[in-house]
Amino acid sequence: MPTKRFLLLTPIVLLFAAGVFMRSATKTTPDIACATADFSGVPALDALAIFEGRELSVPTAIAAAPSHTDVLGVASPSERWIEVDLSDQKLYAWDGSSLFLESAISSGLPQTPTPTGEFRVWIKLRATKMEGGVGRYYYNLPNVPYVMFFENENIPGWRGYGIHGTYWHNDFGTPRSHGCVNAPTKIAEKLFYWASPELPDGRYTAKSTESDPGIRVIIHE
Amino acid sequence: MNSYLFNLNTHGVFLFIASVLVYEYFIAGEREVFYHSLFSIISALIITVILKELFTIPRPFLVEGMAPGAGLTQLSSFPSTHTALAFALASTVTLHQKKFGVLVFILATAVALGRVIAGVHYPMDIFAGVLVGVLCGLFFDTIHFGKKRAKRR
Repeated sequence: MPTKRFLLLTPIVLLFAAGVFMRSATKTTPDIACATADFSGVPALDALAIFEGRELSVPTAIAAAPSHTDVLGVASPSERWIEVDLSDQKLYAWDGSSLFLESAISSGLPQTPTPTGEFRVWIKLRATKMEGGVGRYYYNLPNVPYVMFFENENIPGWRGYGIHGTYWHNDFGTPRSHGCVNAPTKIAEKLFYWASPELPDGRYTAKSTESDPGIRVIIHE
Repeated sequence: MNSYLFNLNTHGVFLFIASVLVYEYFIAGEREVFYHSLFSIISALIITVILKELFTIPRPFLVEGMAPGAGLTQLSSFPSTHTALAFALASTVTLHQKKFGVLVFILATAVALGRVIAGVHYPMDIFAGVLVGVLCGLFFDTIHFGKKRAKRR
C-alpha cells in the first residue's frame, strides 16, 4: 500500500503533538525583559532578593520615600526627553537642549539586548518586584525602585523594557541586565520625579494619558 | 583560532551541505541524490524550527552560566536544527552511495558533537535532530516523486 510510506512521518507527528502539549502546559513568558506582574507600585516591607545565585537584603527605604512632584511643572514637560547611548553605556536627560543630568548605566547583556528606537514611558511604578531568568540567571528582585516602563509600536509594553534603579549591582558602565536600563537608584529617583507622566501625591503608580503623555526615551547604539 | 572554531561550529554545517550538494550535482552527476537531499534538508529545517517554537527550552549555556562556544538563534534549544540538516543530508546520501555516505555521516556526527561541546545544545536535542533529519531523508527517498529511480550503489 502506498499510503504506508507516510507512516514514516509518525515520529515527527508525535514530536509535534508533544510540542503542542508542552507549549499549552507551560506558562510561557516570551522574551520578557524585566518581568513584573505587579503594577501596584507599592513597595514590599519584608522580602529577600535573589540575583545570580546570591541572596541579598532588599532596601525598604523606598517604602518611606515621600512622594514629591517638585520638579515637574517648572518647564514644559513635553520638551523633556531621555537619551540612552548603548555603546557608551550612558544616559542623558535633556530639558530641551540643556542637560538635566547624565549618568553611567547598565543595559542588556548580548543575549538579552536592550531594544533601540524611540519609545514613550507608559507607566511609572515607585517600586515593583521583578522575577525571571532561568538556572544560574534566575532573579527575584522585590522593591526594584523607580521603574519607568517604555513602549513603542514595535515593542509593546508587556515585554517589560524600562529604566529603573538598581540595588543588586554597581557595575554601571557595563552591560548587565536582562534588557532593562539599570540606573543608579539616586539617578533613577531624580528621573522618576522629573519625567512625565506626573505622579499624583500619595500615589505609587502613574499611567500616561492623552493629556499627560509619557516622556520620550530614545535609545541608540 | 578560537573565533575560527566558533565560526566553523556555527556556519560549518552550511559549508558542508553546500559542498556535498555541489559535489553531487556537478561532479558526481547524481541529480537524484541532489534533489532528495535538497527536499529533505528544507523539510528538516521547517520541522525543526516549528518544533523549536513549540518547545521553549532554554539553551544549556544559559542554564549553566558559561559563554556559548558557537553562534545560535534566540529560539529554543530543542531540537537541534544543525543536526537535523546534517543528518537529512547524510541519510539521503547513504541511501544512494554507501561509501561516500560513511564520510558524510562522520562529518554530520562532528557537527552534532560540536553543538553539544559548545554548550548550545543538550544531547537530547541532538537525538531529536537526528530523528527528524533521518526521517526526512527516508521519507523523500520513499515517496520519490519524479522520474525513474536511479541505480543504487
